[in-house]
Amino acid sequence: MPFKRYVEIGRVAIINYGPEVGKLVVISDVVDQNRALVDAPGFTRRVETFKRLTLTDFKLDIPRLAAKKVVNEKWAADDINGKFDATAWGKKLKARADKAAQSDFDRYKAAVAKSKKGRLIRAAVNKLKK
Amino acid sequence: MVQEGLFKYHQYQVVGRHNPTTAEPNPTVYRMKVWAPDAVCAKSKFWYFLRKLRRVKKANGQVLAVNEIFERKTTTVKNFGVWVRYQSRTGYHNMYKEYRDTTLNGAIGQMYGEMASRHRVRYPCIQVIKTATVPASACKRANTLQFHDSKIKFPLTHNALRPSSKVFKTLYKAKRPNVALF
Amino acid sequence: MAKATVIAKGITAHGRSKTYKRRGLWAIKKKHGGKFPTTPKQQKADAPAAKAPRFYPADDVAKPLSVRAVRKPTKLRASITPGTVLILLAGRFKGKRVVFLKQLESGLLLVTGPFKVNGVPARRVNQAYVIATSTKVELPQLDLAKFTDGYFKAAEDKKAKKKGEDDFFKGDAEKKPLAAEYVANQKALDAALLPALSADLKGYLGSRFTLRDGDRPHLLKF
Repeated sequence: MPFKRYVEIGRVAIINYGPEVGKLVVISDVVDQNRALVDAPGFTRRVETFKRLTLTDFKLDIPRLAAKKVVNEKWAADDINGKFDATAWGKKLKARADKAAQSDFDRYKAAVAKSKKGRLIRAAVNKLKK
Repeated sequence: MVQEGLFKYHQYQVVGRHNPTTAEPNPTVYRMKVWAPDAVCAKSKFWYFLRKLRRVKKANGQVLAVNEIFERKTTTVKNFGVWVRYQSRTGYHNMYKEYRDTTLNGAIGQMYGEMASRHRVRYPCIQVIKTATVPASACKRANTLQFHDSKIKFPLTHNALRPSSKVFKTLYKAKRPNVALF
Repeated sequence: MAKATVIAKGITAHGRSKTYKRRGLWAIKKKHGGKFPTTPKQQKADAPAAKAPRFYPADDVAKPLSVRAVRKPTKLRASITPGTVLILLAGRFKGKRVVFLKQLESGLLLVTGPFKVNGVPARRVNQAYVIATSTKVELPQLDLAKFTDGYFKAAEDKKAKKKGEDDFFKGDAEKKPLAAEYVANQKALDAALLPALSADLKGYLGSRFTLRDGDRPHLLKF
């Protein structure tokens, strides 16, 4: 049972509970078996429990308790936000957020597009059946 | 999660003395740091200790000041050593404990929680003798020492996926959750 | 003055003129110059002012408080501006998506389907019974001066009263056609409004809003 993602200094994780849900953070130091200090650009370093964190594949090469400047630089250099958004996981979160932000009109347009698509598919299938 | 503003016990500095008398117009002023849920309890704790240590009681004394003490730097992890004396069912015991936390208040909160769970001792029976921020080289406990590693690496083995907010909680799940993380 | 002999029930021996003579009223008339004397109606003595009632009411009767407050004009929700697409929540048009035109004096909202698109005529609706969506229609220059509260009041008054039993058995009365004026006004409004609507918007306004499985209305964005 090989683990792919470890708790370690520099591991990028995503907050999965509370008001900052969906935010990417990096582990700055490990407090104990349950908690870690997490940091991110534009974010005050603070304690977060592992229950509220989900580890990602990304890891920043930063020292323990890295200065904010170092975190910002490494974060930008590794393009963590861009890389995460490109993953299937990031895309899923984005799609979910987009769907939740749809207006009534957008929902109508989506429904129309869906039924149109179905009609085209049905027509094509019936053509092949003949 | 223990966080600033969410502590059960806060640190107070209480300053008090014996009432001035004609025999002693300038009595000694005593200052004590105590942990209590609020300033009122802090004063009570102060008189409890002072009447044990000196010939001053609440009835013949006065409190000059009560100030809450706040942690200055809450963004780094420190090792806190806590020396306590507590009353068990058989007698008094001294103890030394070590905690890793960002604040002393958090460490004290951990201590009260641990004393209650491991020794069934509650807040009134515990006397905090001394606290200190212990440098890594002076730490004793294995549970503290194992985190003194800048190359620390361990997996999270159990993943109980939770909804992103309490409002999305459901009692019945459509699928049996898979908690394995590999 | 002898009493008149009654011949039969209702018929006396003396006729009207004979009775007149016999009663001697003519003499009184003559004496007063051809007219019966009249005594001026005696002024009724004033009833004793505010006679204390014999009984006091057992219960206190609540005296309505005088209302001095001035009714403030209804505040329009910030999310509703002319051209906003609204979802109606009550009445026979519930679920219909309509276009908001303006707020009337009474605070009610003037909306229209437009009628051509979804059958909702120009009508008034309370803003409590609508959901404002974020969709806005670019309104052309519209002349809405005709549409006032009075305009709709007249239409409502002309509506038939509740049917009685007779009406029920008589069957449906012939439907009175709507005044030509209203029809013309609606047509003019639709004609002005329709060019502003894209094909998508027409389809959108033509469909009804409804909650589906899994929709959480408090989390929906409109």
